[in-house]
Amino acid sequence: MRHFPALLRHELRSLAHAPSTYVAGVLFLLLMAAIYYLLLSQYAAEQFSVPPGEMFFQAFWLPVLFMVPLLTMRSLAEERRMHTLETLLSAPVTTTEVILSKFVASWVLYCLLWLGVMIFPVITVYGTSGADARLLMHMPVLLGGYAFVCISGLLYIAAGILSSTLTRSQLVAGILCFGVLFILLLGPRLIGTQELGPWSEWLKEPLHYFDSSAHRDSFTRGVLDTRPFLYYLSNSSLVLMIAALVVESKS
Amino acid sequence: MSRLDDFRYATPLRRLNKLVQLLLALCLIAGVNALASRHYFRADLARQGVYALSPESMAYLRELKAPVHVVVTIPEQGDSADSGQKLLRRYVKNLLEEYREASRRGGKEMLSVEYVDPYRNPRRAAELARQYKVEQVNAVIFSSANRQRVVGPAEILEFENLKPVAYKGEQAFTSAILETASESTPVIYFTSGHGEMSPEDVSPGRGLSVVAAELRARNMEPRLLDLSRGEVPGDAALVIVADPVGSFLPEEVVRLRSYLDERSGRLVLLLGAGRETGLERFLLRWGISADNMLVQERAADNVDSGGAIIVRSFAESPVTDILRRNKAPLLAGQARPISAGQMASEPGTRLSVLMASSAKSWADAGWRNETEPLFNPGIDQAGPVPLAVLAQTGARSGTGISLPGARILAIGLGDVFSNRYMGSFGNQALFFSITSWMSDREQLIAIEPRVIEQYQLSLSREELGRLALLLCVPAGVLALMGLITALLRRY
Repeated sequence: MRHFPALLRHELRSLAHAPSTYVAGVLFLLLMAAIYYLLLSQYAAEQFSVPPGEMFFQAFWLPVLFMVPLLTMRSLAEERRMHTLETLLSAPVTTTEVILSKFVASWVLYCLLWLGVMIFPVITVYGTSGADARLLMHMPVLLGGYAFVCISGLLYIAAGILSSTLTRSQLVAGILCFGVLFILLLGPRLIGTQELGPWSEWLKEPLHYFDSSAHRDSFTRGVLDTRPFLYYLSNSSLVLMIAALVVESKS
Repeated sequence: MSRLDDFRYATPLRRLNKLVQLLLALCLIAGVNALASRHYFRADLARQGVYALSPESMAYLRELKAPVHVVVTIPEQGDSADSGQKLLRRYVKNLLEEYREASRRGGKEMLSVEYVDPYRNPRRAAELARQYKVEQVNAVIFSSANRQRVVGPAEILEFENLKPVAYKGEQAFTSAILETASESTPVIYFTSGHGEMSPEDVSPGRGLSVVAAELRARNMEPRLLDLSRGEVPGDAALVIVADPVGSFLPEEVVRLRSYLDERSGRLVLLLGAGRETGLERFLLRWGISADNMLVQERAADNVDSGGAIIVRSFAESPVTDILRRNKAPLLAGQARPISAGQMASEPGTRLSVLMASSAKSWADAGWRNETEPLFNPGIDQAGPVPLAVLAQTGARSGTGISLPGARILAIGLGDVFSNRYMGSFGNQALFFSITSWMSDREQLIAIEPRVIEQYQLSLSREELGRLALLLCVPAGVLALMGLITALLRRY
């Protein structure tokens, strides 16, 4: 892993220079601003029994479904299309270093963009006279929610990187990533609501273990649990390993 | 050159090698996740949250001997679900998650939870209806080896004017777990032999079979008691005298008295109009007057289309608070005045009137002889007429600690708990409030309800308009950064 820092710096610089990064970032922040604005309008119109921050994170899957493919679809598919991946791998760097550097760079950007979203409550409190700081800046909810977004992002970004290794087309990689994320984000919940007959008892525990909305709920309530940490860390490692194997087999 | 380096073998071998690597990684990750799901660390950083369990509940859960299964039949949140149902489901789900975690011992959960949406999963709902004899939506069913307890929304959320104001699910759930895990069953005795209403009778007017079924669903056993044969049994949690037609024998009254005096007993008397029960003098000793009169109700809001009396006025007391909070009325066929008119001869007796008829009503003394009910000043009692009185004594132990003593509740609505009227929410709520308070069941565990915080922002239309622009600032800043980067790279 000697070359990893240099590769990571290169990837971060590339992302910072790429216009597509800014386009994806601006679209993401506008979408989140719209969601936050709608939420504030609802809270101004009627009373709710959950803090606004908790309600805001309930919609986290919507931007993830669109932003992660935009951030990751380019990473390896573009390198393969431009035939620069072969050149890169002919240098004294390992496939793991290449994959990891692309993964970490995308993840850092993902976390930074969500950090931009965390400014919304501050803007609301300082930009208006009627917004209650205690209500909007409820720290356990905001910190827990942000920690969940960052940790779950490991797996979602890894899924995006894997999708990007499977094809030369950015569009196909993006659609593939969207499909995988849809299954990861909504699959356990959708399956859990179906009538599964004798399987229901057997599937109950695994579905609960994989259910991202259950993880989100416990994080935003200020509950720290080792299970989601291990789930996202271990599975993102597995997905990245598969991505490395795919790159090696294709090069 | 080794044969393995031969290109004919090298490619398949390389593929096999990758496949083995992949399989090994899969096994490793599956193993790590399986282990992590059983052995984990969990910390609640916001302990003051509404879902944090009290030390009492934690202690009870640690002592659980037998597994408890919980079935939740609150439908999934759909667009059609009202905010109260969404709040209920969310609260129940998060609270039961805490119970599940707290019941964990050595990787094994003593409390398992199953969510069944009766609309989406009708087959499982039908199975549950057969298994638990419960077809109620929005219920939480606790079951152990051979006991079950159904907890309804009114026990989980505290309502005021039909609006949820406090969470009290922890009290209800811990009590339900204690009840299902407990090995003893409280027995509610219904006196017999005087033409009383019976828990075995299914008729609408004189039957109490609905009450009996509901008691069994709450792990209480209804039994008949013939006082002419002997004393009140030792396992009696409560004795109910349900609208007797005939008179009690003097020795039967003595047995009731000794149950109250010597064993700090609990007695509920439902007295209908026009009955001489032989208990009137016995009640006078406790300061309760049960005059044989008929309450004539003339307020339009207090009489239903079928002629039943509607009682809407309730005093503050642990028994009637649920009716006051929910503005729930009581229905009954006829009413008889029950008042706290005379001084109790029992020392230390506290009397409280619990409910009354409307101001337009009166207690008619000559109702038997009147063809048309008329108010006769000086003879009849003007409204509002008191309809129920609670008398309680405080016992003092040798160490000076005050202990709960005998409790007598006399209600002048003889058929208020009959099958005909038990469909009314107010009647049901009053019955269970009486049984739990009179038999000290609600004191099994005392956990304070937690206030439901309501969140609302006071933002004007102008402020919202300004916010729409302000919230676009981060996106604008990023767009500007992108523009500057593009310009710098170009020039």
